[in-house]
Amino acid sequence: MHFPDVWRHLLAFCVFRALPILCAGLVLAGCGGDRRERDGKVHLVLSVPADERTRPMYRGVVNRFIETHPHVEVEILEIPKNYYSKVLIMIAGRNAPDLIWMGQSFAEFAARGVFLDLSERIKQEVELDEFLPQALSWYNIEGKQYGIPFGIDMNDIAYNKKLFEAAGVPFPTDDWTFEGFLDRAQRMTVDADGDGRPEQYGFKGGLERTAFGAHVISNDGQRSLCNSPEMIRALQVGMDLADKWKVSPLPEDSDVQSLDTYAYFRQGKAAMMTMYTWNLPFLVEKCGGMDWDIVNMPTVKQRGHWASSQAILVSADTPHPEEAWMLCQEFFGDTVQKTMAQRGLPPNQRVAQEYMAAFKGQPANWGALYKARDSLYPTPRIANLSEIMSLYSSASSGVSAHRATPEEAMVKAEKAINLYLKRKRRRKR
Amino acid sequence: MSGKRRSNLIGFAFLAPNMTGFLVFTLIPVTAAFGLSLFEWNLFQPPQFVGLRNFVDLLGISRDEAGWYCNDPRFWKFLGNTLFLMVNIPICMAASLFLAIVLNQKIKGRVIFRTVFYLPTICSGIGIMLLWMWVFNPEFGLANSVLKLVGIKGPLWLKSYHWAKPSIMLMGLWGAMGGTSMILYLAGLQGVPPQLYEAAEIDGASTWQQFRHITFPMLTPTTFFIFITGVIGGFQGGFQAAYVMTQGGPDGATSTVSYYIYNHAFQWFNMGYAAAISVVLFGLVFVVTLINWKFGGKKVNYV
Repeated sequence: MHFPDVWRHLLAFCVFRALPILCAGLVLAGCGGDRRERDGKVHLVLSVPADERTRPMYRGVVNRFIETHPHVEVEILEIPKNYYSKVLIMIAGRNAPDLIWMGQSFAEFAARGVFLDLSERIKQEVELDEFLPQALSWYNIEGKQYGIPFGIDMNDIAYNKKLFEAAGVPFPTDDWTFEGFLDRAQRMTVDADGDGRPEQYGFKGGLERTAFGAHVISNDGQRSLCNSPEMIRALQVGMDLADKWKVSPLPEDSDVQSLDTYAYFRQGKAAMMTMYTWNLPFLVEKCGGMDWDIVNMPTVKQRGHWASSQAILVSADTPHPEEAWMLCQEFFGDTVQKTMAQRGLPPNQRVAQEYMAAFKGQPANWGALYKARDSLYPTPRIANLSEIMSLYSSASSGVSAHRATPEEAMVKAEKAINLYLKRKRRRKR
Repeated sequence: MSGKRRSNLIGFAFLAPNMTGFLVFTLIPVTAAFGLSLFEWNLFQPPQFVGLRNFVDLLGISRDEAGWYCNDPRFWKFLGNTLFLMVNIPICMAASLFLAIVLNQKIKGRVIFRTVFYLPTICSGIGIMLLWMWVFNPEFGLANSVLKLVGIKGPLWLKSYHWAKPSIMLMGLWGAMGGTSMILYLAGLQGVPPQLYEAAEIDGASTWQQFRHITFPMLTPTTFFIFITGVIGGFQGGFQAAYVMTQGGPDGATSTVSYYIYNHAFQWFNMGYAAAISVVLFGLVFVVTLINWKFGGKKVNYV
C-alpha cells in the first residue's frame, strides 16, 4: 500500500467510523439525566477542603440538615489538596458545586461572577448585629453580600511556659510591645556551648507585617504599597531576628507554617513561635504534655494579625438556590461556630463570648483570639490577589536568601507589581 | 469485502483505541492551546480575542523613563532556570553510562544491583521528593548531619538561592542515573559485537581505547536517543520539584517554565497567557530538536 492510500484510509476511518462512535458516546454520556434530581429529591453538591480533623464537622452539619430536610440529599465533595485549582476546573467545566467553601481566594472567584448574591436573603433572615462587621465585609464586594463566614483564622504567638518559668522570664501578655518581645526572645535564647548555633531559640517564625503598618497592595488593588518605610522595617526586623539579635533560626516566611516550626517548638528548641489557629487542634493533640499557651502578636507600630476566614457560598449556577441557601445557613449557625472555635475565632461575637466564658482547656488564653478581633488584617479582597502576592513573595524571599536588602527587594517588588497592574489596565482598555 | 479492504479495516481497528486517545487527549488539546493563546480567558467567563497581545506581553520589550525593560521578566528568568537544570542531562547520561558499563561486567549479584539502581524509577516521585526535603533540611537533615561529622557547616540547600538548583539537580541525578537511561545503555552494550573487542585486544588496545573507539561509537544511537528525549523532557521539566519541594522559591530560583505555565493557568486564572507560554515552549522544543537532528544526527554511528 502506498503512503497516500494509508492517509486516505485513515482519514476515511476517522471521519466515517471513529468520529460517529465518539459523537455517539458523547451524546449518550450527555443523556444521563440531570444529576441534580434523583428519585424526586433535590441533589446538592457541597465542595469543602475537608481533612480528618474537619470531616466530622462537615458531615455532622449535612446529616443534621438532611434529617430536617428529607427532600434534599447532599453530596460532600472532599478536596483536601489543591482545593482552589480543583474547584476552578469544576466551574470551568460547567460543573460547579452548588455550595462552595471559600477562604482567602474568595474575591478572585467572586470577581468572576461565580457566586450568588445573597444580600437580600441575608438582610431579611440573618441577625447581622451579632457578627463582627469586619468579618462580614470580607464577603462583601461592591455592596453585594455573598456569604457569612463561619470561622476566622489568624496568626498568634505560642510560647512554652515551662521554658519561661525555668529561665525566670515573665510570660508575655496580650498588651506587650516589640521591645518586650525582643527582650524575652533574647533572654530565652540559649547557646550553652557558644558555637553560635543556639540549642534553644527565643523565637521561631515571623512577626506580622501589618503590626509594622506594612501592606503589599492597596485595598482596591490598584496601587503597590510595598516600597514603604514600614514594609522595609518589617523585613529588616525579620532578618535582624536571625542575623543581628540571633534569637531566631532561618527567617524564611515560607517556613513558618511548616512542620519545621512546630518541630522546633515541640522539641523545646524554640521558646516562642508563630502559630496559625488552624493548627490549634494539632498543638493540643501533639503538645498536650507540654505547658504552653498563646498570646497576641506584639504591638510594633500598631497591633496586627494576619487573618483569613471560611464561608460556604452558593454557586450562581445552582439549579436549587433555595435549598442551597438553607444549607448555607446551617454553616454560620451557632453549632458550627462553636465547633470551629477549637481552631479559630467564631465571627459571631455572642458565640465567641459564650465559648470564651466556658472554655477550660488549652490554650488557657484562648481569649487572646477574641481580643485580637479589632486588629485583624486579611489580604485585600481583590481579583488578582494570588498573582500580586507571588510578585511580592518572589522579591521578599530574596531578602531572606540574603540576596537583596529590604530596600532593593521592595523596589523590585513595586516595579514588578506596577508593571503587572499597568498591563492589566492596558488590557482592560 | 476484498482482502485488501478487510486487511486495512483490521489495521485501523487496532489503531482506533490509540488514535481515539491521541485525538481526545493530545491532538485536540494541543490544537486548542494554539487557538487559546490568542485569547484572554479566566475560565469563568467567555474567552476574549486579544490577537497577539499575550505573545507581546510575554516576549516583548517596552520602554519607559527608566529605560528598556522586558514585558515579562519572570519568563526569561524561569527559562534560564529551566536551561540551568538541563545541565543535568549530560551529567546523568555520563553517570548512567558509567553505571551500565559497571553492571554489564560479569560481577556477582549484578541482577540485584541492576534492580536496586532501577528502584528510584518505579518509586513515587512525590514520595522521593518528600524524602529529599528531609535530607536537605538545614537543621535536621541527613546531608548537613553528615557534613557536620567531618566539620563542614552545610549550606541551606533548598532554602538557599544559590544551592536550591544544585540540590534539585543532585536529587535528579540520584533518580535518573540508574533509571531508563541505564537500561537503554545496558541494552546497547549488549548489542556491541564481542569480536570488535577481541580484534582490539589482539591489536593491543587499552581498556580506555576500546571504550573510546568501540563502545562509545557503537552506543551513539542510544546516546542520541537519550539526549533528544532528555532535552525535550528537560524543557518540560522541573514542575514536580518546584510544586512539591520549593513552590518555585527561594526568589524564583527553582521555578521553571512548566511551573510558570501551571501558575498562570491554575493559580492566577490566565489560561490564554498560559497557552501562549506553552506555544512558545513548543516552538523552543521544536527548534532545538530540529537542530539536534540536523547536527547531532550526523555524529551517530548506525553501523
